[in-house]
Amino acid sequence: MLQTTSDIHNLNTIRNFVETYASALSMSPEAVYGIVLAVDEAVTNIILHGYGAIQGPVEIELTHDSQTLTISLRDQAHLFDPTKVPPASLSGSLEERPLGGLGLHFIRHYTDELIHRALPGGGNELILRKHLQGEK
Amino acid sequence: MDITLTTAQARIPVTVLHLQGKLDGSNYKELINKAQELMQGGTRALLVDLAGVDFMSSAGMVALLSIAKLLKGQIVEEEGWSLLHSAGRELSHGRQNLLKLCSPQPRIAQALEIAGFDLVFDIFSDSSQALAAF
Repeated sequence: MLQTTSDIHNLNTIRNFVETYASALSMSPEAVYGIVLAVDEAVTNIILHGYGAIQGPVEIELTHDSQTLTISLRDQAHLFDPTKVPPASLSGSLEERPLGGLGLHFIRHYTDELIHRALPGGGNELILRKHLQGEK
Repeated sequence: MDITLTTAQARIPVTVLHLQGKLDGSNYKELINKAQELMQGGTRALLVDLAGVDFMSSAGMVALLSIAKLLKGQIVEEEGWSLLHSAGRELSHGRQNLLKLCSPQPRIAQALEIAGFDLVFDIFSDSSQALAAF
């Protein structure tokens, strides 16, 4: 588990942490890049949109079993559920895409499951899951 | 991320920004600022050489869209998809050809495609092809 703060300059440390963990699993380099990008996008959203001008804690926990890599991101920012944001459609009108949805589009593309829950003491937990078998 | 500059004479003078490293939420504004600085010095055409970029998030892509708008003399107020939308709308009224991209590494090229950038920008596999298209 990595415990850090919502400083945008921590992104590189966070990416290295995720890359090191994911590279040791049975994932292709492309899938590792995708999961690193997805975490970067999720943490960037927490830092820039969740906390904004204030600083707060960001916790990244990675676990896995034989089939799935699970990444939990926890913060104490105001409640925001990205799973409620409608998916962007590249084939539809660009006008229909929500503001700031570009990062979320990457998260959805490079992961298999996205779960949000409000933490009991305040804040958010965002869970990203990636299947290790038949990875996309 | 490091930015180095070269100039090239295509049909018009082109400033080439060679990016090196990781382009993310922590440094994308540096790229916009550098492009703005160049434009204030008279630059009108830019080629962004991505050969040295081994990571780019959506923040980096927002920077590229911002620069495309600035080259057209427009104020950048939007972010994310709305910026992509307005850039796409402008291109539907005729390609502006003032900002081109070249030499993305395969993973970056894939991400650019996933974001729909191949519909908005000319992306070339090498810089000589890109320069010939200005």
